[in-house]
Amino acid sequence: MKNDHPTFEQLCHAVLEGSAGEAELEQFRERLHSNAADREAYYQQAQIHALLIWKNGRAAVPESLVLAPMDYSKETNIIPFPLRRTLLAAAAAVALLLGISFLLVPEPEHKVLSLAIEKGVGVEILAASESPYKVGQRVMLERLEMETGSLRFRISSGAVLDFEGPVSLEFVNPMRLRLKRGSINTDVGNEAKGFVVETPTANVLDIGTRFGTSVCADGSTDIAVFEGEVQVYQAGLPLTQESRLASLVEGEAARMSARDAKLERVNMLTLKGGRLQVRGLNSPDSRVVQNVSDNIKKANFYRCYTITPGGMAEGALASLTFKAHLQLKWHAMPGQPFPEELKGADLIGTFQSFAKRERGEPSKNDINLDLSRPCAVYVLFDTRATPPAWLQRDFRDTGLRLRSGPWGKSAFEATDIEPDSHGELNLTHSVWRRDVLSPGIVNLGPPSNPGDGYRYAMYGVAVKALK
Amino acid sequence: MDENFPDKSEPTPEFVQRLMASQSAMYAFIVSLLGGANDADDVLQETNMKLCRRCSQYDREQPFLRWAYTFARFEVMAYRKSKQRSRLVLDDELLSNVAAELEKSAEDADSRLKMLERCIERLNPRQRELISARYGRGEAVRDIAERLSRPENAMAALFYRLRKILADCVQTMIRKEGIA
Repeated sequence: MKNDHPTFEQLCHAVLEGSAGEAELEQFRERLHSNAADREAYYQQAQIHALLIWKNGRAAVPESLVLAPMDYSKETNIIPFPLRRTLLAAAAAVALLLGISFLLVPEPEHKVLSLAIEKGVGVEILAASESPYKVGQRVMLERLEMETGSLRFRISSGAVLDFEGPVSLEFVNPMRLRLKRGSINTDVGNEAKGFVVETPTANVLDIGTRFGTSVCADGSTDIAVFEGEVQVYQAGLPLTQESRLASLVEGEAARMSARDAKLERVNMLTLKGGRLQVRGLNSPDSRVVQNVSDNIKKANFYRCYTITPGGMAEGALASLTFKAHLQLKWHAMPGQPFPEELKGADLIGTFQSFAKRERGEPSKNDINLDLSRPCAVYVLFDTRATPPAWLQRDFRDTGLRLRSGPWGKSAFEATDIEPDSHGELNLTHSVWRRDVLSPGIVNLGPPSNPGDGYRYAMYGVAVKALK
Repeated sequence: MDENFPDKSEPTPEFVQRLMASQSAMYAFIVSLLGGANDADDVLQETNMKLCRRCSQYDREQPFLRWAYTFARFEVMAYRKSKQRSRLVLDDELLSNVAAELEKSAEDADSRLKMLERCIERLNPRQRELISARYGRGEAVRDIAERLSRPENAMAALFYRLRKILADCVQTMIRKEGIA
């Protein structure tokens, strides 16, 4: 976008986008000095640019944080409402505003923070299985060790935790817990943004709404974001710019390894009904898919594939959510049953940016499936697009059709389709099959042929063992 | 604002509430003074910390935002000192002009976000999709231009116009609703 005589519009845009070079900055300053109308235009542009960024959740601190996240029954042995509610909420808000690190090292002048909790935190049990707790019960928890069963509870800060055994955790305060082992899903909603999960190798600060954290036997940590955004920090340090390792948004996953303390992309996560499963502990391993990987080599790229063993069914999660794609699920065609052939297959969630063009070139990305036994591999391909040569060559169209949706109204993959009778945007996919008769690597190519543009949905993948 | 002598008071819930209600306006103020959003989060965080430490100095009868802007401006200047001067967008004189101009409209600043949301709803679907792509999904303008087969310059100009439309809409609402 460089030229010798840029307009003020171009200069202003380059400045706000952070792409202006030194010469452009100089010209920009000259314009602001010499022209009051340009100064006025800059105020406007900068203000709206900032508010649009803010509105979309970057560093947002919602007003709701100062409101009551939940109520407690009188018999609970904690500070009564409304005093406690107000103070807790204020503490949480101040903690967030002060960068949370004050909770680690409380300063005398911020006494309000010490009110956060003295003996455990109050939680309300929302769901329980094989657990001593009952639904609706309100208890104080300092630490929790659970080998089997599952539990879902809301903390007084408003955050909801969801997990299966084995898990070991302890609370620091209502906005911070330490996960020692196992896997938890955290949903902070709008009330507990700023919630922190500490692990042996990382601190995870939630500035979005829903994420999974998993600590393996060796102490390494997997972090997967289902919705919103989290920031990952080095363990044992205050949450500062210097200790921040990465920001992850929905659909992204990373692993902080215990061995070399490096944050790296996680290619594949195991899900069980939308819940993150911890590797090697409670992961229901796929009988057929040992690994999913690709050839994408980019810095700070954390998009991940998901696998849900045996999960293919009506309403199965097609992909981790990503902004406009909402909760993308697989559905039968209207008025038809879900295809028996696909039911119970291992479902692999792909991501849309796989199909994205790179520097003007069509995607050259490949997916590699590491298969451990003979199986049928299914590719669920957007029917609006032309099937690429590799798909036509190696697979056959079964004639089956599925739908993905609902797509967000602003998703560019769904801009040219009409809403269905429920007002939802759904895409039709043709089901292509290839029988793989021996274990090994199966390669799936980009969704378009070389040279062709692609603005449709990324294909889905399912794998089922051959009988 | 001597950092060596913070006051001993605790931020009250009322103070925290006012602070939180002012976050978007403070962020916009900081972005305007920095000339972009890079590091604006960190400057805002620093400003919040200073405000909490100095909470007892706040006169609750006075507009909160005007008081907070003073701290934000101070933090922007501190941030600038830590950067190479060649990389600064605004020089000292311009920064002073911009700050003074924005301080004049401090009273209505914290209502702008809500008005902006209403103004976005008034955009046509194509305009909303562009805003959603750039600011919601975080796509780079270059990528959006490529995806829509448009020249990048034309797309930059389009985003400029979209922000102008939204700014004018917000301004009109402020006038109509008598906030300013």
